[in-house]
Parts: sequence; C-alpha cells; structure tokens
Amino acid sequence: MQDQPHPRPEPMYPVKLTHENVCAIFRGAADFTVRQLRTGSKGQRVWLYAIDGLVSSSELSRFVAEPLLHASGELDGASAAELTVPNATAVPVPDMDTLARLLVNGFCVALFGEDDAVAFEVKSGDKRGVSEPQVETTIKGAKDAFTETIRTNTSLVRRHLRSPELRLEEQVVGRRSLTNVTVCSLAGITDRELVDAVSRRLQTVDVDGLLTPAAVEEYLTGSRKTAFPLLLYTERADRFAWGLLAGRVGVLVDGLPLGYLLPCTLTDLMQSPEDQGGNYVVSSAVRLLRMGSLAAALLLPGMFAAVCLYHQEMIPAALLRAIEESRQAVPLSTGAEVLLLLVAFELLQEAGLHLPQNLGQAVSIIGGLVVGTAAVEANFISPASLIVVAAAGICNFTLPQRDLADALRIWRFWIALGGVAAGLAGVTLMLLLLLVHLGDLTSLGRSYLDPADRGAAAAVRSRLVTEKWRNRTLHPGNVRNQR
Amino acid sequence: MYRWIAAGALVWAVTWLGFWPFPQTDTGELFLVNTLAVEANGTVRLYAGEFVGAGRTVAEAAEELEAHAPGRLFLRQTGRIIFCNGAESGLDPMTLPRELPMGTYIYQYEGSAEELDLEALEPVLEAAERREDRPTLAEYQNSVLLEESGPMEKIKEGGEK
Repeated sequence: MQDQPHPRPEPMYPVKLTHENVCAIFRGAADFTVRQLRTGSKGQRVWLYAIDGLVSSSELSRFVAEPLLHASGELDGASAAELTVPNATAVPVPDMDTLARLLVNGFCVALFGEDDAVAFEVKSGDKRGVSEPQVETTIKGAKDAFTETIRTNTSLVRRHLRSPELRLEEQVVGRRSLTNVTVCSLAGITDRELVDAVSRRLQTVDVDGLLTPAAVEEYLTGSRKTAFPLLLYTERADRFAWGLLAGRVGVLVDGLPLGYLLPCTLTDLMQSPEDQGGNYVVSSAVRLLRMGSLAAALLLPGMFAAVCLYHQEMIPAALLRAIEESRQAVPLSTGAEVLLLLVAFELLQEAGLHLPQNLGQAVSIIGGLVVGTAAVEANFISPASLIVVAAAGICNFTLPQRDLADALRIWRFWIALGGVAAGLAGVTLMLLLLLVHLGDLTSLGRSYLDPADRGAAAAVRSRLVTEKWRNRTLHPGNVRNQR
Repeated sequence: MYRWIAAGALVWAVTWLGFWPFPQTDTGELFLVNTLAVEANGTVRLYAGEFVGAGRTVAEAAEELEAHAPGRLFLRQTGRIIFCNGAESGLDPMTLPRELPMGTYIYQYEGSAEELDLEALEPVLEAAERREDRPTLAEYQNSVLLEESGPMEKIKEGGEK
C-alpha cells in the first residue's frame, strides 16, 4: 500500500461529456472561460471552452469562434473539424479525460451536444524565446539552448537533426501535473531496447507532479543510492542532438529547459561541449587537464592531510620547513584545519549560490579574500592548508558537469577523513571504496566506468583525447544498431 | 542507520581509548634536525635550527636535544652528516639510525665540531649540493660494506660457492 497510497482511477472523470460536467470539473478555476454560441439557421447551441492565458484569444476568435458563428447547416464535431473550422490541428474528444487534458494543453474545445466535442489548437505564443546557453557556454558552438516549452525543444532538436528517422514518443506523467515527456531516439542508430526501457521507466512513474529535475532524474535512473549522476543533462540542443547520434536515448520534459541523455558513463560526464568545437589538439590537452583536475579536486585535501600528519618524510625538506614554520602558531591540527576549511568552502559556495548575483560576488570576495586573509594573519589557519583546499575547490569548478562536481565534493570529504584518520592507507582505502562504488553503478544497463565504445584501446584513446573528425566512425560500434 | 551509528561509536571508542593503529604527528609539532655532526671521539651532535644536542650516540644526542626542543624530533629530513677530524674511521655507518634518509649528503670537516659554523658554511654546502658532487649516506654505507666483504666470491652454477 505504501507504494500506491491512492491507486490511480482510470478513467479519472467517468462522466458524460456535457456542459454541466465540464463546468463541474473546472469549478473554481478563475482562468477557465466558457463561451456559448448559436450557429446555423436553427440556432444550434455550441459551447466553447478554453483556459485563459494558455490560448491566444485572437486566434480563438478568428479561427474557431468566427467560422462556427458563420456556419450555415447543422454542425457536429466531425463536420466542424472537416468543413467549418480552418484550424491546422483538430483533435476528436471521445471522453472527459481527453477534454480535460487538451484544455490544459492550450486547446479550445467545442462541445456540440452530449458526447460530441472536438478540440482545436490555439496555443498562446506567450513563452520564453530561445536564448543562449547560460551554463554550457562555448565560443564557437551553436547558441540555441532549450526552453521550458517542450514543443520548442523538439523543434530545436529537429533543426539540428533534419532526419525523418528522429522518433519523438510522448507520454504524460504525473496525475496532477500532467507533464508531457518526450522520449527521443534515432531509428537505425538507437538501440530499440534502450528506448523501451526508458519508456517503461516513465510508465512506472506514479506521482502527483513531475516538476523538478531531481524527480525526473531519480525516476529515469531508478533511485540508486549514489551521489553520481547516472544520466547526462544538457541545455544545448546541439549537444543533445550529438548524443542522439551517438546512440543515446534523449528525454525532454515539459517545463524543464534541459534535455537528458541515457545511458551515460563517467567519461561522458567529463566531456564539455567546447571539446567538439575546438581544434582536436587543443581539446585533447584541455581534456587531459580536466582529468588531472578531477584527481586533484578529489585527492588534494586528503593527500595533504595524510602527508602532513603521517608521512612528513615525503615532503621536500625546504617545503616541510616552510609548512612547519607556518603551522607552529596555529592551534588546530592539520586534519581539523583541512576539514573545517572544506566545510567553510562549501558554506561560501552555498551562500554565493542562494544570493542575488551581485550580493553573491560580494560574499565570495568577503569570504574568500577578507576572511581568508584575516584568518591566516590571526594564525587561525595556516596558509598551506588554505591554498590546498582552495586549489581543490578551483579544480572542482573545471569539471563540466555540475552534478559530477557535487558528487566529488561529497567523496572529497570522505577521502579527507580517511587521510586524517589513517594517512595514505586511509586515502587508498577510500579511493578503493569509491572505485568499487563506481564499478557497481550502471546507467541503463551500461557500466558507469565503461570506456568500450569502439573496442577498449580506441575507446580509452577517444575518451582521454579528442579524435580527429576524419577518424570518427559514423556512430559508436557497441550500440546494437538496427541497421 | 543504527549500523552506521554503531560503527561511528566503535571508531570513536577505539580512538578515545588510544588503540587507533595510526599514530599521527602534526607538521607543526615537528622539530627538524638538519645536520648531524660526528666527532673523532665518537660524540654525536644534532643541529636543529639554533638548538644543539650532544651525546655518545645519536639516541643520546636526540634525547638531550628533545629535552629543550619545542616539539618532536624529526630525523627523516636530515640533510647533512659531517664527520669532523676524520671521525668516519671510528664510526660504523650501519649503526646510524634508520630514520636518516639515504640521500643525506656526507661531508668531512678538518676541525672539531665546536668550531663548526653552520651558518657561515651554508652557502658552500648548498653550492656543493647543487653540483651533486657529494657522496650520499647510501653510497657511503655501500662503500663501507664492500670494503668489509672484500672481493666478491664467484657463484658456481647450481648456487654452490
């Protein structure tokens, strides 16, 4: 019973299509509008329903109400759609559930009598236009980012992939939110089993509303106990299209300016859209640098604590003398210092995120520069620890996927704790635990650590560096292609 | 959840009772010995900044130095061993503490340890170390071992000497 606290009633509105029932369903909705028309020579009564704000009033008047008013003969749903109303999209309405769903999706419904209705699309143009990406910015790449409107997003994908083989399968998820979710794939490239698996997962979603990215991600990935992202999200339509070309399944959710790609591996998350836009030598160098940053972001604080507390002989004599001198007046141990600084760094980051942009910058400056300098001058912390934690933080910012960076931030704490508790043995133990954890993860059946796209050697090479375009095959070889 | 609390409590108890198998020393607590000088009469002197400790053995010298040093003595980064007045002939290098790094440079000084002015000698020693023309402790120990063992015996096939 816990899984299904209130079983979904099917149909949701088991009533006849009558004017009274429609009004009863939308009772109390201030934006629900009803218009009664008299049409034909006999003055046949027709009801027009729409949701104000979702439909364009002028289009409703001009392309639906006006033709209906000027119709001469007796009308029903089918004849109105075929002969009278010059609207591009007309959908038959067989039941009350369909009527409700279409109304909240920007359709107007004309009711001609009991159980005889037809819906016309007159969606309002009030939506955010396509703008430049805010997070995944590139110098050379395309500048179109996804918006909150799913149809705009599908059109963006279509513009990048003008292939009739692009499949867009729609589902409605969420009992109350009735969120449109589109599963995108390329017939002939995407493995059909993967598409079916994603569709099945979406069908199992039984919630009141699918409104937040976390909910979508959790349902798509199957609620694994991990901080690591098991799907790739992007705000860039070109990257989404590139993912589809690589044989991945795409998911677009109405209301979210993001596209999701599955399956994804750890190395996919290390790739930036800029990698595809730049020269392959430069991109390869930057990608290798990013790999180094990942290692530094994860290990630097833990290694520093371990070496300073247990393995001082590993530090060059001159550096050890400098660290020793700077630490002599500091009351905290290196371990406590590193852990406290990590917490302080996270606090600063959170404070910067939740404040308006200008205030956030001020907090970063005050926190990072003023408080940091004062803390060092007051011998509250040593400069070496501050430099190490700040360097690890900066390395973390170079990772292209925010979710991956967040997961690493959590593991960085555990590795630092291991280093403080047991030196390099502790760091190694935590690192092994991380590797075991990563090895246990799968994304849509594919191993999270899998680099084998085109045979292990080629895959490792292509993941570590960017290949020349002329060396790239049409699509990855390990995808079970249909043709 | 209870398992995690129990594991945390166990770790805390082990640490609090002093049974944690990883003893730690903070860098700030260390007192770095940078030079070890040996006199012809076998007296060993340890120099750590402005502090000096002397004794018949390294352990005794360390004990004396530790008595008035602000921290824990750290021999693992000792950079120089100086034999004064031909002291190397009277010292078995294998008796030196194992904490001394194998890369420690060896010097010979024609004078007593009391006359040794490390501050004045610092540029000369640094220059020599930069040229890497000084023997290290490992090389010194190897040469002594080779001298002691004499010419190496040839080993016949089958492992027989």
